[in-house]
Amino acid sequence: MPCESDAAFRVLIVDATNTGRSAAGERLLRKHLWARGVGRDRIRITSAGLNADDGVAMQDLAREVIQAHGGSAQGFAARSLSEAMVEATDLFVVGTGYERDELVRRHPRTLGRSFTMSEVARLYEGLGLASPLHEHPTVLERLRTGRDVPTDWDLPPWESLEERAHAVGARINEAADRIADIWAATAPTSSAPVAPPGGGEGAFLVDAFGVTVAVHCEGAGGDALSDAGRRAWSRCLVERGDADVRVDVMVGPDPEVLTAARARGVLAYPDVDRALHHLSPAITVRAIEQRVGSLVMLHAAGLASPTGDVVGFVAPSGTGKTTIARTLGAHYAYVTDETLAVDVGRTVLPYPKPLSVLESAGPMKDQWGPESLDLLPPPPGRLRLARLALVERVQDAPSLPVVEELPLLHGLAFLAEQVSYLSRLPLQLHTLADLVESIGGLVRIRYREARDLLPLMPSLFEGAR
Amino acid sequence: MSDAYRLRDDAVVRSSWDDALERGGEMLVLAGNDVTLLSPLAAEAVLAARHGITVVALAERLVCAFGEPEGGDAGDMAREVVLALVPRGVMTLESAE
Repeated sequence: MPCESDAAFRVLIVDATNTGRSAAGERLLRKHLWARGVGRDRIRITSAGLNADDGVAMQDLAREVIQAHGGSAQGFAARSLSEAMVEATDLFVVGTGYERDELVRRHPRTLGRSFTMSEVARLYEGLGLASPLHEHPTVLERLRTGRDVPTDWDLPPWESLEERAHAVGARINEAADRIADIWAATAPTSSAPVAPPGGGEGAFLVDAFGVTVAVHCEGAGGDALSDAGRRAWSRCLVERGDADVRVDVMVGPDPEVLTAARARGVLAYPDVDRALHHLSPAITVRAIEQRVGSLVMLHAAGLASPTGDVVGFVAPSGTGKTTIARTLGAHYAYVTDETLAVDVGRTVLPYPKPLSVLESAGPMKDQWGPESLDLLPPPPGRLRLARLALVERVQDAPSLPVVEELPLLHGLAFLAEQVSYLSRLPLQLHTLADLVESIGGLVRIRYREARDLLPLMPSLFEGAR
Repeated sequence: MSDAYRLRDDAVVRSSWDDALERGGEMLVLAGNDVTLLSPLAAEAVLAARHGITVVALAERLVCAFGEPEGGDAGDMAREVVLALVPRGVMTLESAE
């Protein structure tokens, strides 16, 4: 969803009294974000209680748990949840499912933005989310709607209070560690000036829809990462030029070195595969932030005809865009599998990034360059948006995809959910409506398999003519 | 606040949005970061509440535009619309229990 790119992402941890779980959640999430060099100017973590007494100290057990996991319990005072806090929050992380429901009952504005920490951690599993952090609540809510995600952790009984508290602390700490990894890669970038990109063998430049991103690889595995990165990003490589923004990545075996690097804001991982996995969303998010307000940036796969006409297949993250790009990209030019960037003149700026493909049994997807997958390159010259289709993969859809023309407002209502920073576009909905009307409106396509879309392509390219 | 019976007749509701499109009685509104498609009934309510309106006056306005709801109460209908739009940021309650 659209959002303010120049503001920190604001997270409020909520429970009943703000003396136990929420206090531990606040301090441990802060700890893990700080350890990755993410300060409150990028992600602001605070907490409050539905029935809290303002100024009360946290429980001794919460203090023990925080300190046991290396966090700081100093300077804490409970706060009662206010309407102003609700209005100033992007994401609510709530102690239990019961408390989450109570939060939504009391404050309807929290609907769709409130999750237990257990839910947040589970919903992120296996999700290679390449969208700005401000859009994550919408993505998580959509994923929750379609899945049976447990809201609470299995814990020791209340009779074993101390054991239960430490179990909760361990779960919070583990979840916060994983969440911080994802948030560090997709959080708003620091307002600090970008250091000069420099050169060196461990650095390479990529073009992401007109934004030049410098990727600096360091550590014992820096050269291996640089080599693998150049291969995976081969279609986006820029030989020379000034960078608009930079990403620093380290690969190395020493946990202490990685920890020190994270504290400097470097994305640091023990192996190349993990680094490449997190590098992709980091590059995408930084490029998106550079083009806020000047491009319409859609969550869409793009395929181009030999004459440069582009069809965009719009769909939420994790619902088949990459499979569409990979399948159709054997026959039509691969433009992107994630972010389709279009200017006001309908010119498409390509972003042929690596494709995230789930090949192994592990939770992470492998990054495959379009060259390795034999995807066709875009033709030379201008690429022009010809058609936008909202696509939905349905298991029991007929083998012939169902195509439906959508009334303008109904189509825009779906499309708007898949636009980055809509609220920052000049004329907002009107800009989006003008773009859609210039290509003959929107269609919705329900399909079973990506290959079923192939016979539709000629008619989609003809659609806007 | 989310229970209909808690929304009093004299509660004042106000609508606001950053951008909107209208077609055939329907409205698409952008309020903050949320985009919401409004039915003709909800669109009428949102337009009526642009400068603030009590729940009872809103109910009267909706009855004028669409007639009495079949088998229902106009006040309840207005409350349902308000309670659906508050979470979307399109309406706010200015005074209520």
